[in-house]
Amino acid sequence: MKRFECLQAIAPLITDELFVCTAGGATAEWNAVRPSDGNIQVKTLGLCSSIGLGLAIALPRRKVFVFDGDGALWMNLGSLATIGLHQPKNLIHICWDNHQYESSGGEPTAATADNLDFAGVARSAGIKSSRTAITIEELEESVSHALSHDGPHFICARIEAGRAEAPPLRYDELENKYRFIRYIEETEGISILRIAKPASYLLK
Amino acid sequence: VFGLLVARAIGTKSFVVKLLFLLTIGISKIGGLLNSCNGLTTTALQFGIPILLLVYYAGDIGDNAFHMVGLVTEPVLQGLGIKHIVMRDPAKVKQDIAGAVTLANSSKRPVALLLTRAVL
Repeated sequence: MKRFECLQAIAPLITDELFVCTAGGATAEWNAVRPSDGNIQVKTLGLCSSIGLGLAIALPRRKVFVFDGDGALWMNLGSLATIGLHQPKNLIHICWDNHQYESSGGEPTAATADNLDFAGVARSAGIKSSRTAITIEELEESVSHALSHDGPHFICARIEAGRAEAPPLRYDELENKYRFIRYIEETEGISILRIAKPASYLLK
Repeated sequence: VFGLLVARAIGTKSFVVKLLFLLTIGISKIGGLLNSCNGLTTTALQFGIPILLLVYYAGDIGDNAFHMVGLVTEPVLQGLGIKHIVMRDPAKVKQDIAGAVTLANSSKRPVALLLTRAVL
Protein backbone atom coordinates (compact mmCIF):
# COMPACT_ATOMS: atom_id res chain seq x y z
CA MET A 1 0.00 0.00 0.00
CA LYS A 2 1.08 3.57 -0.62
CA ARG A 3 1.45 6.06 2.23
CA PHE A 4 -0.67 8.72 0.56
CA GLU A 5 -3.55 6.27 0.09
CA CYS A 6 -3.26 5.28 3.74
CA LEU A 7 -3.41 8.91 4.85
CA GLN A 8 -6.48 9.51 2.69
CA ALA A 9 -8.11 6.41 4.14
CA ILE A 10 -7.65 7.41 7.80
CA ALA A 11 -8.38 11.15 7.37
CA PRO A 12 -12.19 10.66 7.62
CA LEU A 13 -11.67 9.06 11.06
CA ILE A 14 -9.96 12.18 12.40
CA THR A 15 -11.64 15.03 14.30
CA ASP A 16 -9.55 17.30 16.56
CA GLU A 17 -6.60 15.05 17.30
CA LEU A 18 -3.09 16.52 17.38
CA PHE A 19 -0.45 15.22 14.96
CA VAL A 20 3.30 15.17 15.48
CA CYS A 21 4.87 14.45 12.10
CA THR A 22 8.33 13.02 11.53
CA ALA A 23 11.20 14.62 9.63
CA GLY A 24 10.20 12.76 6.47
CA GLY A 25 7.79 12.49 3.57
CA ALA A 26 4.73 11.76 5.69
CA THR A 27 4.65 15.35 6.93
CA ALA A 28 4.00 17.16 3.63
CA GLU A 29 1.60 14.43 2.53
CA TRP A 30 -0.42 14.61 5.75
CA ASN A 31 -0.61 18.40 5.57
CA ALA A 32 -1.90 18.06 2.01
CA VAL A 33 -4.54 15.53 3.08
CA ARG A 34 -5.51 17.27 6.33
CA PRO A 35 -4.26 20.85 6.60
CA SER A 36 -4.58 21.99 10.22
CA ASP A 37 -2.83 24.03 12.88
CA GLY A 38 -3.11 20.83 14.92
CA ASN A 39 -0.21 19.39 12.89
CA ILE A 40 3.32 20.06 14.10
CA GLN A 41 6.40 19.25 12.01
CA VAL A 42 9.52 17.78 13.60
CA LYS A 43 13.04 18.51 12.36
CA THR A 44 14.99 16.03 14.49
CA LEU A 45 15.03 12.56 12.99
CA GLY A 46 13.52 10.17 15.51
CA LEU A 47 12.28 12.70 18.04
CA CYS A 48 8.62 12.80 16.97
CA SER A 49 7.71 9.94 19.31
CA SER A 50 9.36 11.68 22.29
CA ILE A 51 7.64 14.98 21.49
CA GLY A 52 4.31 13.20 20.97
CA LEU A 53 4.74 11.48 24.32
CA GLY A 54 5.32 14.83 25.98
CA LEU A 55 2.19 16.26 24.40
CA ALA A 56 0.15 13.23 25.42
CA ILE A 57 1.32 13.55 29.03
CA ALA A 58 0.70 17.31 29.08
CA LEU A 59 -2.78 16.99 27.50
CA PRO A 60 -4.16 13.72 28.89
CA ARG A 61 -7.67 14.32 27.54
CA ARG A 62 -6.53 15.00 23.98
CA LYS A 63 -5.63 12.21 21.56
CA VAL A 64 -2.18 12.63 20.07
CA PHE A 65 -1.00 10.91 16.90
CA VAL A 66 2.65 10.41 16.10
CA PHE A 67 3.59 9.80 12.46
CA ASP A 68 7.00 8.16 12.56
CA GLY A 69 9.19 6.51 9.94
CA ASP A 70 11.16 3.28 10.22
CA GLY A 71 14.50 5.10 9.82
CA ALA A 72 13.47 7.68 12.41
CA LEU A 73 12.15 5.10 14.87
CA TRP A 74 15.34 3.08 14.50
CA MET A 75 17.28 6.21 15.48
CA ASN A 76 15.23 6.61 18.67
CA LEU A 77 14.09 3.09 19.47
CA GLY A 78 14.46 3.84 23.16
CA SER A 79 11.38 6.05 22.99
CA LEU A 80 9.23 2.91 22.80
CA ALA A 81 10.50 1.98 26.25
CA THR A 82 9.74 5.48 27.56
CA ILE A 83 6.20 5.24 26.14
CA GLY A 84 5.88 1.79 27.70
CA LEU A 85 7.00 3.29 31.01
CA HIS A 86 4.53 6.19 31.02
CA GLN A 87 1.58 4.33 29.42
CA PRO A 88 -0.17 7.39 27.94
CA LYS A 89 -3.73 6.31 27.20
CA ASN A 90 -4.13 8.96 24.53
CA LEU A 91 -1.08 8.27 22.36
CA ILE A 92 -1.39 6.63 18.94
CA HIS A 93 1.99 5.99 17.38
CA ILE A 94 2.05 5.01 13.70
CA CYS A 95 5.32 4.03 12.04
CA TRP A 96 5.27 4.33 8.24
CA ASP A 97 7.70 1.56 7.34
CA ASN A 98 9.04 1.83 3.80
CA HIS A 99 12.35 0.13 4.61
CA GLN A 100 14.41 3.15 3.60
CA TYR A 101 15.69 6.62 4.40
CA GLU A 102 13.64 8.06 1.55
CA SER A 103 14.31 11.74 2.27
CA SER A 104 18.06 11.36 1.85
CA GLY A 105 18.10 9.16 -1.25
CA GLY A 106 16.59 5.80 -0.38
CA GLU A 107 19.39 4.10 1.55
CA PRO A 108 18.19 0.91 3.25
CA THR A 109 17.32 0.97 6.95
CA ALA A 110 17.73 -1.79 9.51
CA ALA A 111 14.14 -2.80 8.73
CA THR A 112 15.31 -3.96 5.28
CA ALA A 113 16.65 -7.16 6.78
CA ASP A 114 13.06 -8.11 7.62
CA ASN A 115 14.31 -9.45 10.93
CA LEU A 116 13.11 -6.35 12.72
CA ASP A 117 9.55 -6.55 14.01
CA PHE A 118 8.76 -3.03 15.23
CA ALA A 119 5.37 -4.07 16.59
CA GLY A 120 7.05 -6.89 18.51
CA VAL A 121 9.62 -4.50 19.95
CA ALA A 122 6.86 -2.07 20.97
CA ARG A 123 4.87 -4.87 22.61
CA SER A 124 7.92 -6.06 24.52
CA ALA A 125 8.50 -2.48 25.64
CA GLY A 126 5.10 -2.47 27.31
CA ILE A 127 2.85 -1.11 24.54
CA LYS A 128 0.28 -3.87 24.65
CA SER A 129 -1.88 -2.59 21.80
CA SER A 130 0.71 -3.10 19.13
CA ARG A 131 -0.04 -4.20 15.58
CA THR A 132 1.32 -4.44 12.06
CA ALA A 133 -0.94 -3.35 9.19
CA ILE A 134 -0.23 -4.59 5.70
CA THR A 135 -3.45 -3.58 3.94
CA ILE A 136 -5.41 -0.35 4.02
CA GLU A 137 -8.35 -2.18 5.57
CA GLU A 138 -6.13 -3.44 8.40
CA LEU A 139 -4.82 0.07 8.93
CA GLU A 140 -8.29 1.61 9.03
CA GLU A 141 -9.42 -1.02 11.50
CA SER A 142 -6.32 -0.48 13.66
CA VAL A 143 -6.78 3.29 13.74
CA SER A 144 -10.50 2.93 14.54
CA HIS A 145 -9.61 0.58 17.36
CA ALA A 146 -6.98 2.98 18.67
CA LEU A 147 -9.42 5.89 18.61
CA SER A 148 -12.03 4.01 20.59
CA HIS A 149 -9.82 2.26 23.17
CA ASP A 150 -7.31 3.40 25.78
CA GLY A 151 -3.69 3.20 24.66
CA PRO A 152 -0.88 3.58 24.23
CA HIS A 153 -1.18 2.20 20.72
CA PHE A 154 1.51 1.34 18.21
CA ILE A 155 0.83 0.54 14.56
CA CYS A 156 3.55 -0.43 12.11
CA ALA A 157 2.16 0.29 8.63
CA ARG A 158 4.13 -1.55 5.95
CA ILE A 159 4.11 0.69 2.89
CA GLU A 160 5.72 0.88 -0.53
CA ALA A 161 8.52 3.35 -1.04
CA GLY A 162 7.67 6.50 -2.98
CA ARG A 163 6.27 9.95 -2.37
CA ALA A 164 3.08 11.50 -3.59
CA GLU A 165 3.04 14.93 -5.20
CA ALA A 166 2.36 17.13 -2.20
CA PRO A 167 2.96 20.87 -1.98
CA PRO A 168 5.70 22.10 0.36
CA LEU A 169 4.65 23.00 3.89
CA ARG A 170 2.99 26.39 4.18
CA TYR A 171 4.70 27.39 7.43
CA ASP A 172 8.27 27.14 8.63
CA GLU A 173 8.95 25.57 12.02
CA LEU A 174 8.62 28.79 14.04
CA GLU A 175 5.30 29.84 12.54
CA ASN A 176 4.13 26.24 12.79
CA LYS A 177 5.08 26.18 16.49
CA TYR A 178 3.22 29.39 17.34
CA ARG A 179 0.12 28.42 15.35
CA PHE A 180 0.16 24.94 16.92
CA ILE A 181 0.41 26.35 20.44
CA ARG A 182 -2.32 28.97 19.81
CA TYR A 183 -4.53 26.23 18.37
CA ILE A 184 -4.08 24.19 21.56
CA GLU A 185 -4.72 27.25 23.73
CA GLU A 186 -7.98 27.95 21.90
CA THR A 187 -9.26 24.39 21.72
CA GLU A 188 -8.23 23.47 25.27
CA GLY A 189 -9.09 26.82 26.88
CA ILE A 190 -5.66 27.11 28.46
CA SER A 191 -2.84 29.63 28.41
CA ILE A 192 0.61 28.42 27.39
CA LEU A 193 2.54 31.36 25.97
CA ARG A 194 2.84 34.21 28.43
CA ILE A 195 4.95 37.32 28.21
CA ALA A 196 6.49 38.36 31.51
CA LYS A 197 6.26 41.97 32.64
CA PRO A 198 9.61 43.68 31.87
CA ALA A 199 11.88 43.65 34.92
CA SER A 200 12.22 47.43 34.73
CA TYR A 201 8.54 47.71 35.73
CA LEU A 202 9.37 45.96 38.97
CA LEU A 203 12.08 48.43 39.97
CA LYS A 204 11.15 51.15 42.39
CA VAL B 1 14.65 18.40 42.11
CA PHE B 2 18.09 17.65 43.44
CA GLY B 3 16.87 14.48 45.09
CA LEU B 4 15.40 13.45 41.78
CA LEU B 5 18.64 14.33 40.08
CA VAL B 6 20.68 12.16 42.39
CA ALA B 7 18.20 9.31 42.13
CA ARG B 8 17.81 9.40 38.39
CA ALA B 9 20.66 10.29 36.10
CA ILE B 10 18.41 10.25 33.08
CA GLY B 11 19.93 10.04 29.64
CA THR B 12 19.25 11.43 26.27
CA LYS B 13 15.65 12.15 25.47
CA SER B 14 13.94 12.95 28.71
CA PHE B 15 14.39 16.67 28.33
CA VAL B 16 12.31 17.14 25.23
CA VAL B 17 9.54 14.93 26.42
CA LYS B 18 7.31 17.59 27.92
CA LEU B 19 7.26 20.06 25.08
CA LEU B 20 4.03 21.73 26.05
CA PHE B 21 4.92 22.69 29.56
CA LEU B 22 5.78 26.34 29.77
CA LEU B 23 9.27 25.42 30.77
CA THR B 24 10.65 21.96 30.27
CA ILE B 25 13.20 20.67 32.70
CA GLY B 26 15.83 18.27 31.46
CA ILE B 27 17.93 16.23 33.81
CA SER B 28 21.00 14.36 32.72
CA LYS B 29 24.64 13.71 33.24
CA ILE B 30 27.09 15.16 30.77
CA GLY B 31 26.87 12.00 28.64
CA GLY B 32 23.14 12.60 28.19
CA LEU B 33 23.77 16.22 27.31
CA LEU B 34 26.35 15.32 24.65
CA ASN B 35 24.06 12.63 23.21
CA SER B 36 21.32 15.25 23.02
CA CYS B 37 23.20 17.73 20.81
CA ASN B 38 21.14 16.91 17.70
CA GLY B 39 17.83 17.25 19.53
CA LEU B 40 18.97 20.45 21.23
CA THR B 41 19.96 21.90 17.86
CA THR B 42 17.11 20.85 15.58
CA THR B 43 14.29 20.93 18.11
CA ALA B 44 15.10 23.17 21.09
CA LEU B 45 17.11 25.83 19.25
CA GLN B 46 15.47 25.61 15.82
CA PHE B 47 11.93 25.83 17.23
CA GLY B 48 12.84 28.16 20.08
CA ILE B 49 11.82 26.08 23.08
CA PRO B 50 12.78 27.13 26.61
CA ILE B 51 14.39 24.30 28.54
CA LEU B 52 16.14 24.32 31.89
CA LEU B 53 18.95 21.79 31.57
CA LEU B 54 20.05 20.42 34.94
CA VAL B 55 23.24 18.57 34.23
CA TYR B 56 25.51 16.77 36.68
CA TYR B 57 28.96 18.05 35.81
CA ALA B 58 30.86 14.81 35.34
CA GLY B 59 34.53 15.34 34.60
CA ASP B 60 34.76 18.43 36.75
CA ILE B 61 37.91 19.22 38.72
CA GLY B 62 38.43 16.32 41.10
CA ASP B 63 36.57 13.70 39.03
CA ASN B 64 38.64 10.56 38.57
CA ALA B 65 36.73 8.94 35.70
CA PHE B 66 35.21 11.29 33.12
CA HIS B 67 37.87 13.93 32.50
CA MET B 68 37.30 13.88 28.72
CA VAL B 69 33.62 14.84 28.85
CA GLY B 70 34.52 17.43 31.46
CA LEU B 71 37.01 18.91 29.03
CA VAL B 72 34.54 19.33 26.16
CA THR B 73 31.35 20.21 28.04
CA GLU B 74 31.63 23.98 28.29
CA PRO B 75 33.07 24.46 24.75
CA VAL B 76 30.20 22.34 23.35
CA LEU B 77 27.59 24.42 25.18
CA GLN B 78 29.31 27.56 23.93
CA GLY B 79 29.33 26.17 20.39
CA LEU B 80 25.61 25.47 20.60
CA GLY B 81 24.98 28.98 21.85
CA ILE B 82 23.54 27.71 25.13
CA LYS B 83 24.28 29.91 28.12
CA HIS B 84 25.32 28.07 31.24
CA ILE B 85 26.19 28.55 34.90
CA VAL B 86 28.59 26.28 36.76
CA MET B 87 27.03 25.90 40.18
CA ARG B 88 29.68 25.68 42.87
CA ASP B 89 28.18 27.69 45.75
CA PRO B 90 25.27 26.11 47.69
CA ALA B 91 24.31 29.57 48.93
CA LYS B 92 23.65 30.73 45.35
CA VAL B 93 21.54 27.76 44.21
CA LYS B 94 18.16 29.51 44.39
CA GLN B 95 19.46 32.63 42.70
CA ASP B 96 21.12 30.64 39.90
CA ILE B 97 17.99 28.58 39.21
CA ALA B 98 15.71 31.62 39.23
CA GLY B 99 18.02 33.47 36.84
CA ALA B 100 18.26 30.52 34.48
CA VAL B 101 14.46 30.06 34.42
CA THR B 102 13.93 33.73 33.62
CA LEU B 103 16.51 33.68 30.84
CA ALA B 104 15.19 30.43 29.32
CA ASN B 105 11.63 31.80 29.19
CA SER B 106 12.53 35.23 27.89
CA SER B 107 15.00 33.99 25.26
CA LYS B 108 12.98 30.87 24.36
CA ARG B 109 16.18 28.87 24.42
CA PRO B 110 17.71 26.20 26.62
CA VAL B 111 19.83 27.34 29.55
CA ALA B 112 22.14 24.88 31.30
CA LEU B 113 22.99 24.60 34.98
CA LEU B 114 26.09 22.48 35.50
CA LEU B 115 25.79 20.95 38.95
CA THR B 116 29.03 20.20 40.73
CA ARG B 117 29.32 17.90 43.74
CA ALA B 118 29.46 20.95 46.00
CA VAL B 119 25.76 21.72 45.40
CA LEU B 120 24.40 18.16 45.35
